[in-house]
Amino acid sequence: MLAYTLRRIAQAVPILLLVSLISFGIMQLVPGDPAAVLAGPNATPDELIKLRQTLGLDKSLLSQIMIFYGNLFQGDLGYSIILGEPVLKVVLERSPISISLALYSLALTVILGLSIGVIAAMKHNRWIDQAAMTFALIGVSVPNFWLGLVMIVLFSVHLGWLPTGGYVPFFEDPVGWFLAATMPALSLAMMQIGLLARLTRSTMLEVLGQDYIRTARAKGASEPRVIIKHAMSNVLIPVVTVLGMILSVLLSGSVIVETIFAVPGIGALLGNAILGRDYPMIQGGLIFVAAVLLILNIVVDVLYAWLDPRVRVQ
Amino acid sequence: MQRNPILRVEGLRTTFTSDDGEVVAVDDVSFDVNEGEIVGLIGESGSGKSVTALAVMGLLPKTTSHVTAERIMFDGRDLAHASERELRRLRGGSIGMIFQEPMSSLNPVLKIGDQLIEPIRIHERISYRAAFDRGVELLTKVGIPSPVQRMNDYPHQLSGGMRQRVMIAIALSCSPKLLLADEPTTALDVTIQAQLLDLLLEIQAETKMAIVLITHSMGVIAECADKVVVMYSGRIAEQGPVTEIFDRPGHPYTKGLMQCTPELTGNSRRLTTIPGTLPSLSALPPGCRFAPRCDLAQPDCVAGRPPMIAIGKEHASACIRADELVVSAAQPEGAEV
Ligand SMILES: Nc1ncnc2c1ncn2[C@@H]1O[C@H](COP(=O)(O)OP(=O)(O)OP(=O)(O)O)[C@@H](O)[C@H]1O
Ligand SMILES: [Mg+2]
Repeated sequence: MLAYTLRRIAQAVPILLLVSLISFGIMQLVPGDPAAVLAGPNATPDELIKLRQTLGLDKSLLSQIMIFYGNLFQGDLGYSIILGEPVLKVVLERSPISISLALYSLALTVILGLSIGVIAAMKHNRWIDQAAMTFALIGVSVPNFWLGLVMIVLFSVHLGWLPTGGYVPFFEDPVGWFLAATMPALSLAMMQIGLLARLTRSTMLEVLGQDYIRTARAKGASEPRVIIKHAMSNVLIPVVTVLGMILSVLLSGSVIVETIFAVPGIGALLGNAILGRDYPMIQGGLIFVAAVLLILNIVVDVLYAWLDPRVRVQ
Repeated sequence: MQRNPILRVEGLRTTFTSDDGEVVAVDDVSFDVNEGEIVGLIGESGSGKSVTALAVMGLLPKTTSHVTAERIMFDGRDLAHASERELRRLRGGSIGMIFQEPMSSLNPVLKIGDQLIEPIRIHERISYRAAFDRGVELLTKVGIPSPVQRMNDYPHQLSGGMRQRVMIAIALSCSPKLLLADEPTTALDVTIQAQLLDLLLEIQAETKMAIVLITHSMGVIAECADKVVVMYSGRIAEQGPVTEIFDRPGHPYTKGLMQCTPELTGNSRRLTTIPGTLPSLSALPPGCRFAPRCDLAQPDCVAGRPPMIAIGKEHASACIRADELVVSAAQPEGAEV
């Protein structure tokens, strides 16, 4: 198990190198002169030269790469042009906001997606099944920004139950955090809830038809025991596999949702950086998000191996 | 020796609903299993052997199947009219079952030990420790080497033969009075088949439980069973004591099955197969269902369902020409030619 974990970590290193190379390439791939684009049409030649120096664009490609990786290995992601602060510092300040939102979304996805899927499978072809699958279809089809806006209109504007957005630090005011984060988390999660409910239902139906379920019944196991001990342990395997993917989507989907709900997270930060052509911010943010996603995926893979003995032994 | 029936199935009927309507997979099947007796249930693939066993256990899918019976008496209780709760108490307790598919019948994500002691923990008030020890004992009994380590293994670490031994151990874990063994060896190598059959016979000799042994092979029946029930297309073609049936088969289908078995004919050149195939459940022939494949068929055979005719002590056949068959079988071999 430990060897497996270490191997997965080792496999992540080349991926991280590739991502960093791509994010380095962003600046090189901008058509024309990135400094000119960044400085705008009214910049003086002097300003342009200075900006090129700050960005390191006056050096050769090779030395730019060397400097980039040299800084990267020291944990230096450069300075944000718009905010005038170190990228790493800004990213570290903002990321807990996004990560907590994504984890809340994930919790909603797992709890709602799994239970809807399991109930639908157990009531296969009955009205409850059909209702659940209609709900899942709606969840999958409705765009999250639209859902977010509808929820704001309904729950904030008309009913006044929840704030329209913003962010309250969890440790200062857990209830406030909960109220503010529920709508963003739900609109972020809705599509994943639909997908997970469908996956859970079809997997559960398949598992319930397996011979080992019949064996469990032949032992005199009660229905809850059959479902929880014998079926769920098998259903969870494919579910955990997609969990990493779901989390990636939840984290990267937050650009739009954070903007709608005025949540000052990484998504909103990167969105603004892209609009403002803040290249160091974009580069640093990209590497950081990629690193977080890689770590989460390793956690998911290890969890998967822990659940499925057939993977563990290999 | 007068024995009491531990299982008495009367008028068992099972239907399945599928997309093309309702089919009758088991049609009016009745048989007895006495205490301590091994009853062989034989028939071609698709003749309804597994469905019969699963129906007795109440293990057929509730949504697509419908089981009715006048009575299914087991140990003084009527399973046909018992509640799910009562059935659950018997399953894995007084009635054990071994399935046809050893590779898929164990849960891939649970340890052998957990699966083995589960019925013990369900049916008896017993500590985990004591149940574990009994699990080790059971694995030893079914011939699994290093049983303590095996308790912590997962199914994929075991061969098919070993898995079926585990299934046998599971079925035996609560000392059942009746074991339903559904082709316990069909999916395995020939050598392992023989080993497992010997193991079952050994355990049966020791525990004196009754066994319904489902099989394709008349050879297995000859070796193990006291009584035979021959099924064809969801109905019983013939049943009776093994010696009776082998000496005086009262149904052309039984005769055909015996001629398919090299060990029984003793002459591989005379080995024949029964021409044709089992009819489809959705297009059953009228009258005797074996008639389209039968050498001896005559117009009367398709007129109506042939009744079970008694042709000996506890020996009955669903062939209207059973009497002729028995007489001809009683004559010496050369007399026919
Ligand atoms: N769950 C089910 N749904 C629909 N039809 C079924 C189901 N189970 C069995 N059948 C049908 O019932 C008939 C009898 O099947 P059964 O499994 O009892 O045969 P069998 O005698 O055990 O054959 P085998 O030797 O291949 O195991 C077959 O035609 C089969 O297609
Ligand atoms: Mg079968």
